[in-house]
Amino acid sequence: MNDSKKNNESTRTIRVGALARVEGEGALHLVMNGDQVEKVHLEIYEPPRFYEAFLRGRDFKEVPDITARICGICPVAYQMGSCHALEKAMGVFDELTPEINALRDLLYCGEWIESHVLHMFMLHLPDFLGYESAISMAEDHGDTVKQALRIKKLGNTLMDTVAGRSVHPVNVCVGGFYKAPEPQAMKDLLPELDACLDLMCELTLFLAEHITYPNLVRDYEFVCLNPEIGDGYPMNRGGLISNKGLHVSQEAFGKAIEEIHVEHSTALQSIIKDRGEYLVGPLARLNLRPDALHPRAKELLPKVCKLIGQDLPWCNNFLSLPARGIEVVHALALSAEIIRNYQLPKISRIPITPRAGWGAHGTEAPRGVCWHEYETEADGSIKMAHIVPPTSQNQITIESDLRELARLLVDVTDEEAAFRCEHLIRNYDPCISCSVHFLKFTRDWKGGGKPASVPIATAGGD
Amino acid sequence: MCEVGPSILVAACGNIMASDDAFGPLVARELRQRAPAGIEVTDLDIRPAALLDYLPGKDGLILIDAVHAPGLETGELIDIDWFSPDRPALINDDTMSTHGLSLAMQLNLAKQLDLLPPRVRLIAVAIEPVSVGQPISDHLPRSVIAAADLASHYATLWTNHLPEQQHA
Repeated sequence: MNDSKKNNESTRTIRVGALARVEGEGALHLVMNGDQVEKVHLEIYEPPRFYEAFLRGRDFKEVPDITARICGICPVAYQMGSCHALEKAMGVFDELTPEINALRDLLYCGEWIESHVLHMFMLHLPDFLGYESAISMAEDHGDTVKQALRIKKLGNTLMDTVAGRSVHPVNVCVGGFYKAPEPQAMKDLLPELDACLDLMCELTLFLAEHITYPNLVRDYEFVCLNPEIGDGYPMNRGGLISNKGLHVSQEAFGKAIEEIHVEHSTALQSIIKDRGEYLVGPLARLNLRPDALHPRAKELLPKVCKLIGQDLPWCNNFLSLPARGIEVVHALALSAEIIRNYQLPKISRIPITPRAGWGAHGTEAPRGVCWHEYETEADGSIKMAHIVPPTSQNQITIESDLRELARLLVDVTDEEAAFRCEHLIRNYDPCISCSVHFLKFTRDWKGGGKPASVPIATAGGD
Repeated sequence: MCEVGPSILVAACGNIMASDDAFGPLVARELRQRAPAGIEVTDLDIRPAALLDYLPGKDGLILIDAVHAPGLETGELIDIDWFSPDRPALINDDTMSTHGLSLAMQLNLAKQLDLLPPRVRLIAVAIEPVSVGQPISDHLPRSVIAAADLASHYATLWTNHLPEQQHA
């Protein structure tokens, strides 16, 4: 679906009607004046705000099942954020057992594996290799795609086993799990986990060696969870830190950031108060807490760095591709470790007596911190819900990246510019909404700064 | 030794919390209650991107979804071979997807990887735009039953290797 038109002598509007590999619905509008970027607007239409109102008055026990439907790709992230925050509101957070925490980590590993592998090999890698989609890429790299699908399926199987369903898990509850998985069902996964772990190491090294990564280095403020030493890689627990001095508890994070509304987007945008934009996601986690990777991933990291020619910190978000690869290795290795140590726990959930309270907690969705805040009434119903999804936190940073990139694209066709902007946006694996999705790309030239008339092709996908 | 019959997958998509987009999950629920032999029913919910995981080894695939289809009345059922040139043009195949890996993309990818079942059928209902938190339309339960009947019909035909006929 293409639509290109001349507005006047010096301004031209070009639309690309499909960004077929990003969830949700959005539009990118660039205004150029010669080689200067006057405006970058990434418009996002995002549903979680409806959910916040939707949750008010509901019983706290319903929240994990409702928030899971904010996103089809990362339902566990929304469940984990809501469970932890509500456990704080109900005063049972500190009673969570190591067994419950381990099962939650395992469930989250399943989601990371599924989401990361889907994004890396079906959506992002075609950009790097110059294919318009995974379909055309599969013509030349069918075995790689099949290997990726095998690992992705294992992520789904992990979620099925721990939580009853992979799409919208039904076994998760505030306080833990309705039922602990059977040990034998868990152990049955080990052979495939071990095989996929070896496979993912090979694939990650392949990506490090054979991909040429565009060089867009920026001075990011990386933000992620900061688990205590010995409590693993950023995922479910810990306060929040950045590379520029942020060091806050989960409860204080909401006060450390500010959500702002801009006219061009229905999604709120987040900044760190008195400072500005920040970046959440795999690059932030890897740069800030590489020490906490599983030994298998830690062993792989220097090899990947050497092949890429770049030690940490990686300040180029195109390197989010190998960062995700390392995180998948971490998740697979951690899953195998948790399962090897697994025994049927004495209790699978902490009993809860409803009370009036307040709790806040964020966890690491595959694409970054997903922070929840709830206030409850004495009967356990929700008085206030507040959710800060990762993509809205990254939105200003995406725009800044695009501003930097757009300056480098003055001499390329609009078709190429659209493709490269979309490629950049996909670095963030943005989770914009869960309905119709497409990106409308518009680049306007002011002051006669750019001759026009290059036709536009659909940007990718079907 | 028992003879193993064909393996038919019914894959439903949709959001149970978003008005008539609940069509797919409701059909899946109806089919599970009927428990027909030889059919695996999976509710992909709002993650159709998981479809590929279920395709290996399947002899037939029946997709159930709600769609926006120009020229069709709201509530009208689509029942057609996915690859038929007569398949009504959807506004955009990606309207049935999340996270960019649409059903159409996945089926094309499955074909590329030799994972595509030999028979693929789309059973869908035309719906109005939906929003989260709204109830289903009055007509939807009838459409759900009709779609479940159709899915059972094709599964029976395919399981018994009977010639396929366009259902009325």
